[in-house]
Amino acid sequence: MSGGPVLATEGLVVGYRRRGREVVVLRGVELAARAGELVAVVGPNGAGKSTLLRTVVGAQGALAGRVLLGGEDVGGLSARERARRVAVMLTEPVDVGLMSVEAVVALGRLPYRSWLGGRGERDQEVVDRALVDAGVGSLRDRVLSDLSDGERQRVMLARALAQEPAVLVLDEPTAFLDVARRIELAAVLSRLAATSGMAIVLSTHDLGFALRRADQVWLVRGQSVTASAPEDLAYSGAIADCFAGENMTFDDAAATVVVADNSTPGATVRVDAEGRLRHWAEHAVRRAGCTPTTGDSSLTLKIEPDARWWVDGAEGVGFGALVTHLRKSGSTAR
Amino acid sequence: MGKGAVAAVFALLVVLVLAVVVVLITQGSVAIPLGEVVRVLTGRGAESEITRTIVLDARLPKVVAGLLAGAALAVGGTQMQTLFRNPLADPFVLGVSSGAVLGAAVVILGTGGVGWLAGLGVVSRLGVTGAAVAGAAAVLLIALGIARRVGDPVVVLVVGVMLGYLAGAIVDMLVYYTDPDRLQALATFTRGSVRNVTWDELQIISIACAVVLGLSVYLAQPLNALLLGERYASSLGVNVRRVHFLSLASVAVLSGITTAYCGAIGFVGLAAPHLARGLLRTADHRLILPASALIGAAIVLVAEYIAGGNGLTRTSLPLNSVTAFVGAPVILWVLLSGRSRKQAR
Repeated sequence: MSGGPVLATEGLVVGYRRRGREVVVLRGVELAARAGELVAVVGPNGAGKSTLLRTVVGAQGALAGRVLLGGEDVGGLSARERARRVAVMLTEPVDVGLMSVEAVVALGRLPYRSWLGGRGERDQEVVDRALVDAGVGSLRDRVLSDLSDGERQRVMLARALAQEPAVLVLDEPTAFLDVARRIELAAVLSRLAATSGMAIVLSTHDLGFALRRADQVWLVRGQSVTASAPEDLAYSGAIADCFAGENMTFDDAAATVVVADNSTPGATVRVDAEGRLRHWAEHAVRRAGCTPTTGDSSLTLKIEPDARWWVDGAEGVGFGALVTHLRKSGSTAR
Repeated sequence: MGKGAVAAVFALLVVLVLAVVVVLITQGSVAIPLGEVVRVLTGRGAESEITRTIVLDARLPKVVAGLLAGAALAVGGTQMQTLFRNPLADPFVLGVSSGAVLGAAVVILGTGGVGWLAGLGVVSRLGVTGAAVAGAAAVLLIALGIARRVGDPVVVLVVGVMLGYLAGAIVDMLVYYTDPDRLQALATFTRGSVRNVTWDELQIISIACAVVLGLSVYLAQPLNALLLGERYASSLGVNVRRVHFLSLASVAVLSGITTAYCGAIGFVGLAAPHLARGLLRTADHRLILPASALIGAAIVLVAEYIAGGNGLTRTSLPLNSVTAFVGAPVILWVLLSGRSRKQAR
């Protein structure tokens, strides 16, 4: 391996032509992704994430500049050559009706086959490995229409892996999935980036995932793309600038954007508990509009593992009751 | 489904088609034993000249025409269903066959007064065929343009039916203002029949079918990729535009030619692919295209047998009256099972 970037852009201008006029979405795009890197593309809705990804995979022409796949201009590659270097996975789960999982994954070998050629031994090996790597080995003989959305997405991932690409591009891969399936897919992708040697580029709305798992974040905003390590973008405030609007702030601890609390702060409550109990007790205190603290305070919350609590002479059971009580007494205590 | 089961299904279909072929050649106004048919076919001299004529000039062309028309319509229907992403697409339902009739009618009614059946020259016969293919292609393009905008398969179905009515209405108007002699030629078009096809015409049909059915072997894998949607197909290195063009051209040629010689045979292109998918439990075009070709051939031949086109009576049912018994239930099943909505996404 040469060590150079498997995907790079040079002076790229992303956009489209409408009635002969050029509409620029992003300009001066200079990006590079190396083998084994996981890149998260983040940015507000409509900033141009999808357009950027479509241009990067060669599905849409660039207005200016170049996209290089393994050092070669994507515009100069044939559709088949391109399909051997870059694979994509789209947002919506597909429904192809009566196709077996294995048959769908085997479509990933299409760029390697002559038009009459059958599947060779090597093709079968690659398909088998892709099924296992995407975690759908046990679904091989099932029909795609019988699977859940999450399973179908991973079948489409296996199909992309069967293309043996140097670059895997995923547009909002988790958008249609529930929380558990999201985490599952994120784990599969992180592992793949580390073990397969592919560069994985994915767009996502999940800032937490982007900051925790990505080696590099491409922040798309205001017609430009900033590429950096997640910590650099978070620490410099670039992510906060980008997402935090009037009522939003960037919460460093949670590594995500939260609703800003502009109301006058309620009472400070000393929380007397440990571990998980303490975590959720503080959560309840914050939700009630108060500030949890470890130091001295006029109010002390004592809480036991069965969620029985005492505060300010009152007592009760359960976090819901606690929040209700604090909201009521918090306003008077101030 | 395992390889063995797939082979068994294909074997069964081949046997079915052969059985219907044998029945159609041996049974009829005169029963001709199979052995005698074989003697005629191998050129080892028949018992009588009449037997020879019945087999070679009456029954065999009809059977070959039925085989080719059935296979062509089924393969055309399968490709249309994938192309339109619509389980209800079919040359007849979406008005493509009516477009072909219109094309043919314009040429027949517009050219010299010699009766169509009396025997047109090869040149004008090709002219009629070309016009039918052009008519089919025109309706196909309009329907596809609308389908890409609308997306809802049921709306597209209604649009297709309307396009068919429109083409039919234009044909009716043309007929109204034309002298009755030439109308005879048009009668078979709207009813569907494989009985008036001559060997000369069969040559044109079989060459065209061979080319286009061969092309569908090449199209099978790209069409599989298209099941995932155009963006996925193109990411897999499929030249989506070229596949669309080749597939549309195939459908236009297949339905244009069958309509030019056998009339607008309905529902075969719609039902055969569904039956093939149901039998093989897959949507893989490498299996579905040949399987639906066999099923389509079987449907047309069985319909021809039931329609009484075997010489028992002088008049016979239009083929469409029989094929509707297969096609209409399939349409209803697709509509009611909700598959049409599901595939619209």
